[in-house]
Amino acid sequence: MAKKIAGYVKLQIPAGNANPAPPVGPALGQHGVNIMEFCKAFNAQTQEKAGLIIPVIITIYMDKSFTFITKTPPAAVLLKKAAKLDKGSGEPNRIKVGKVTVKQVEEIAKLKMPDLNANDLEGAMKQIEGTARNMGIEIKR
Amino acid sequence: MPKDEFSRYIKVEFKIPLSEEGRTLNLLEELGFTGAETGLGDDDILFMKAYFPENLEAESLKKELSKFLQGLYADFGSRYQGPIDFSNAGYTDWEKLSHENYLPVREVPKLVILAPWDEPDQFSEEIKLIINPGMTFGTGQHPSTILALRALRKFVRPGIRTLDYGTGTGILAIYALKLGAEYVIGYDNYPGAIESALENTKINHIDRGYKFTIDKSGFHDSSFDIVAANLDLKTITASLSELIGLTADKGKLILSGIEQHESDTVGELLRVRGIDNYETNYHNDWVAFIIEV
Repeated sequence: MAKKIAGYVKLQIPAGNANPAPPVGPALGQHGVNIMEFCKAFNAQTQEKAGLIIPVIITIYMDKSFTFITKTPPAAVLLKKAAKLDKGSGEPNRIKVGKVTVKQVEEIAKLKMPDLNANDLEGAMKQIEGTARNMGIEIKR
Repeated sequence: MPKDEFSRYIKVEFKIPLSEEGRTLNLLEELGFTGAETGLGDDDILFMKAYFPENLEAESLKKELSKFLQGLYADFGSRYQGPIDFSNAGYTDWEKLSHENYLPVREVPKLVILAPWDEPDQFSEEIKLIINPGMTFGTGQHPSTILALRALRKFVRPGIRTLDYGTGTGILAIYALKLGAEYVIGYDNYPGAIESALENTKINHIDRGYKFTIDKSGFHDSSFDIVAANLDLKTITASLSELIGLTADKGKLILSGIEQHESDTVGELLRVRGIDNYETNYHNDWVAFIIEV
C-alpha cells in the first residue's frame, strides 16, 4: 500500500478511555483522522490498563488512514499505583508519603523495560528507584 | 461522552525538559487533566498542551502548576523557561469536524466514494462506495487509489475474476464486485485489513462473490483476469514476478501506488521482464501502470 506518512501525533491519555474531547479531538482533527475509529481501536487495545495514563504515538498517512503504537505508563504513575497513593510528596527529601517493595520496583522495571534506556533489569530498577525517591516513596528492603 | 459533562476545557501550554516528562505527567494526572499532546523541539525541549475540564478550580490549578514549573525551571535553567499559557477551549464537535476531512470523492465517472455517516440517498451517482476510513489504507482519498479505481472501471466486466493484492479497506475489491466481477479475492498481509474489508463489504450490502484472506498459498498462476495492486515501489519490486504470474493470459495487471519520479524504475522492472505492452495513467504526482500480460 502506498503508505506515505503525512505526520505524527503524540498524546498522553488514559488507557481504555479515549474520546473525541481534547486532547484527542483537536490533535487528530487537525490532521483529518477519523477520531471515532482511533478511540475505538485505542480503547480496545488498552482496556486492560484502563485508567492509567499512557503515551500513544499516532502515524497519519496521506490518505488519512492511520496506525498507532502505545508505550508504557510513566514510572511515577505506576509507582503511585503500587504504593496506593493519590499523589507524590511535595517535599520528597523531607516528607515520605509511601512505600513500595523491591518486588514492586522489579515488576515496574520489567514493564517499563522496552521504553527505558537501560542495559539490563538491574539498570532499569535503579532508574525506577530514582523516580521513587524523587516522589518521596521509600523502598522497603 | 455526554456533551455537557466536559463541554469546555482549560488548555495549558508550556515547555519542559524531555527528561522530566514522567514527573510532569504525574502531576498533571494528580491535577485532574484529561490528557496532553506533546511535541519534541530542539535541545530535548518538550512542548506540552494539557487539557483540564473547566469545572476544575482554575486558580488553584494555575498556582500548583506554576509552582511545579518554576521549580523545574530553577533546576534545569532558563532555556526551558517559557510562558505558561492558560486559555479556554470552548465546546467543539470534534467528531463532526473530523468527518469534514472525508468529503465525498468524485474522481471516477459515475462513482462517488462516501463515508458511513453520509446519506447515500442524497447522491445520484450510479455506484456508491461506502468506506469507513480507519486504520487501513484505501480510504479513497488518495490519488493512487483513484488511479486504481479508474483502471478497474475501464476493465472489469461481468463474469471477470479479480485479485485485489494489498486490499486494505477492500475498496478496490468492493468496487470490482459492484462493477459485476464474478468473484474477487482480496489479499493483505495485515489481519486488521481483512477485518476492515469485511466490515466495508457488509456496509456496501455485498453478500456474494468475495473472499478476504491473509493466506496466498491457494493462489494459482494465471487465475485472475485482473490483478489490482495498489502498493508501493518497494512491495511492487518484491512482488512483481508473482503478480505477473497470477495474471491470466491477456489479463490486466494494474500497478498503482507509484510516485511519478519512480516511474522510470517501474518501467525498467518491466523491461527486464520483456514487458512493453502497458499504458500509464497520471493523477496529481502519482502514476498507475496498466499492463497487458
